[in-house]
Amino acid sequence: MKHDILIRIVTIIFQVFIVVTIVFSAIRFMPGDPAVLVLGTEKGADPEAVAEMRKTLGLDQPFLTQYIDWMKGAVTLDFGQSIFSGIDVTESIMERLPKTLELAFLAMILAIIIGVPLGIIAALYRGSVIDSMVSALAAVGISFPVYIIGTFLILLLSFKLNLLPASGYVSFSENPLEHIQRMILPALTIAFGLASTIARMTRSSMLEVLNKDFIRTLRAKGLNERKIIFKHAFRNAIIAIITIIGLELGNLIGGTVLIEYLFNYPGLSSLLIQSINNRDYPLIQGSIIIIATIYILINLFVEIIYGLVDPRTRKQNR
Amino acid sequence: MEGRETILEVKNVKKYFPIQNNVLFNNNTDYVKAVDDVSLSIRKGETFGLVGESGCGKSTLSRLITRLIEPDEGEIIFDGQDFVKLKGKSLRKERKKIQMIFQNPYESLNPRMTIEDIIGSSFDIHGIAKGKIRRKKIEEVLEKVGLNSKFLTRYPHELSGGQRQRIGIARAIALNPKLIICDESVSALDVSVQSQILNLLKDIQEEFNLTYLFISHDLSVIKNISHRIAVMYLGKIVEISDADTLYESPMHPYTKALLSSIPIPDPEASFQRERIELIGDIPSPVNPPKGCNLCTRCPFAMPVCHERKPELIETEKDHIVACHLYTSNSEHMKESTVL
Amino acid sequence: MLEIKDLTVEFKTENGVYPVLKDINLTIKEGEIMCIVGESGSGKTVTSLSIMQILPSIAEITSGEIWLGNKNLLSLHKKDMLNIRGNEVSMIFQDPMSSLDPLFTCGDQIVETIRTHKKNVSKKEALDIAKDLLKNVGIAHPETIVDAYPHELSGGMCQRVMIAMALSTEPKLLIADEPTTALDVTVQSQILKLLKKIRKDFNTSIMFITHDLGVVAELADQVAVMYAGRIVEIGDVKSIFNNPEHPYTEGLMKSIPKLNEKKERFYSIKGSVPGITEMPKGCKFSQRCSKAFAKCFEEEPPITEIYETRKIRCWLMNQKGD
Repeated sequence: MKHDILIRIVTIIFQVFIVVTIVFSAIRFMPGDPAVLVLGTEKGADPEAVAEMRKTLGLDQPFLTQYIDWMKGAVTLDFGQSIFSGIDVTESIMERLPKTLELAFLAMILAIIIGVPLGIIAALYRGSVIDSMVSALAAVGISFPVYIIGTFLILLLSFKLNLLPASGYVSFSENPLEHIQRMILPALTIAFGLASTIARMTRSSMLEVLNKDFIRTLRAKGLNERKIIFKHAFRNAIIAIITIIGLELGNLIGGTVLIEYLFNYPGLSSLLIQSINNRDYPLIQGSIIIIATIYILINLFVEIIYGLVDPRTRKQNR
Repeated sequence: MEGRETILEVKNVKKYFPIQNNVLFNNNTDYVKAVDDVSLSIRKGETFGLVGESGCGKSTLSRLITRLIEPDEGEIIFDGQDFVKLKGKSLRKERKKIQMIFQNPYESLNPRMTIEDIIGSSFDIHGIAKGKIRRKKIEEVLEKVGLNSKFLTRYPHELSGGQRQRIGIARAIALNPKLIICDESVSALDVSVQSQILNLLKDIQEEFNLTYLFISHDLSVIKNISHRIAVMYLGKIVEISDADTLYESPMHPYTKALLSSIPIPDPEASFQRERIELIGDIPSPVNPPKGCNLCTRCPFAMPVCHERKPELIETEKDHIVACHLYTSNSEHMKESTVL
Repeated sequence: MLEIKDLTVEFKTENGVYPVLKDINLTIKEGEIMCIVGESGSGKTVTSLSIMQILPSIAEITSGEIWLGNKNLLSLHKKDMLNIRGNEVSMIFQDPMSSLDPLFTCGDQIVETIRTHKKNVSKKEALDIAKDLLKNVGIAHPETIVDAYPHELSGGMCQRVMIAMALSTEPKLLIADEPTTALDVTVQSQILKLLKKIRKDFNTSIMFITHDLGVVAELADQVAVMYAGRIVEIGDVKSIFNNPEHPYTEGLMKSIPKLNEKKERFYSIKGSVPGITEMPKGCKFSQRCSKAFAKCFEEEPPITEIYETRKIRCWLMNQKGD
């Protein structure tokens, strides 16, 4: 068991290392010079000023030197300063990370609460009107772009019904009620699409499990239908659902930029996009590494859950 | 069958599959000894039966012979050539001569291809025929397996199990092979369909002068179709003899146990017969016993059986056994029905 | 003890309604082993599922009665049927490893069966009963097996666990649907021996479904041969093997490769089983029967008793007036 954990940790470090190296190399191949961007269009036209800025930013060093320097800092979570704003990268990220995490988890929980029961019902009443309705709704949720759903919800719940504020962020410590109010619309927008995916997956996973041989045995044992569905079928179906949840959760950490723009939400995604536009290397690197690490950790977590739920994935001790 | 030339010779072939024990610093690799030092020779024109239960290695052996997987050790001499050493074009050329018919008629045909394409692909891969000639050859082959040309445009899911198996046979004979390996080719079929397919196989063997390696776990089928039979257990050959002798006077305790566990379709005989039974369950192929593979279950086990693996020796003409009961100076143990 | 009367089952598909079982009549006495033999499509599995009433949703029992003792199972409420299933009638299936829930230990699954039907047994008590049962079915170390998961055991072991589970409620009837087909022949031999012991020790009736005539000869007291959803011959095992009367039974017996004979060619019944959408008029076997005559193609023969301990569905016997 100990060896197991050790291997896992080593693997994670290795994975992060690879991500880091790829990111570091890739962004230096992007067109555009950060020095020019920092200086602005006027001064940026002057080659001498550019060269000077490049020196200040340390961009004139050979690749390997830049790499090693940065790595030294990275190990202590010092990702340098933003080229654009001069603010500590770690500070910028840490300002936004908790907000992104909060939104992601809230959205995911909503999506699960909505999606899983709908998926189960659709599976149990397969072919019926309910099933068709759920499938239709899911199709809408998956195919509609998130900014359309978001805009629609804003129009409906904010403008028409005046239930919730349209955008902006207020921290919990400032005003707990308003904080929650302002989180609902963005979370709901994300949850709509997510719930659709989860519902579909739940439905097909349940149907697959219900067709299995052991379900027939359970019926033959005289178990009532409810026990068969919840104690046995659902538990078997959950494995596929957990996989999806893990994947989607990862996406939520770095992929919510449209939501953030729409609702003016200060998340990690928009920070990343901004930094890419600015060719702000340190900030790009820092953000991506944090996002990638979280993704990898989520994967690890999912694997551990597999082991808990499914005895077939545990290491054989016999 | 004597005096005929040997078409396939397998010499001391081994295939061990590693299982990673994922421990970081302790590279402890266990091996599944799927095929453990197997030797046999098949004569031209005969049907050589290979029988054994699940996990004995017979399917792995068939894949080694066709080089679908590579042996770790040993030689395979097919039609006079060192089959293991061949590569590229020459391997392709020799490959045409060995074909395989698989077990599951529901899964061994590509569901997206028409019957014409399935059989035709054999010709296409070896660049043999095109256009009209190809079409004609396909029709000829279909006829040989008892199907008419209206099957050309059909898809596998439209055919019954028996019909699909006929397509499998058609595909195998399309290239005029010399050796066909039937890997449990009738096991998934109903009894009445099974007899039809077995008859077809016999007819084709006669017409094309084919040699068969017939693999099965069903002893009754094997007895009726094979000239000689080899019995495998846990990766090793335990007995080889001609069909009649094997059933009339089996030597190896495993063969005896196998024969005595086949249910006989005759209530009277079934009631009266002698039973040799093995104790317990089959051991894991990862950790076979140090001595004879059967020693933990054999009702006749002696101390030497736990110590040393028995060699294959010829006890009477054309009858080979690997068992300490028959080594040089030991006398036969009295047969007794145990337990 | 079990009596099936005139059972008819139909499948409702998009293309129409097709009979899958027609006029099934059979009786199993206490402590008797009845083997149902047939090839794929014969309806043998549907028969067993009908008794348990766990048919797929496209199937419907359109007529008949299934008497277990003095209860007609087909007229029971769903709730009452739940009490019978797994309790008075138990069933084991073909592929033992996939027939057990992979997420629960073998012990848990046996305990679940016990506690479903005996409400006031504690978990610990049930576990002890489970261990005893496992010992009775020939498992040497039940303590290890109760904590094992199905995927950790061999096919033979899983089947023993299934049998233990089925016996945990001391059923009157055990239905076994091809339980040894997927197992090695040496393991099959052990399982058959076990079933005979169970019948002897507990006087349990067994309905054993198979396509293997050898197994029938070893196990059965009575045999019912099914073809295309009908019983075509039913009677005492020795008598049927010595003297099969129905041409299909005769053909089946001839088709099996035998150990003690050597043939150049295998006997095979010409043609193949008609699909449920292609059933011929008259006797369903007529197109493949070497002894068929005009009436066979026109009218389906009823099942008639031709002598004591033998019933067949064939015009041949009727014609002779036996």
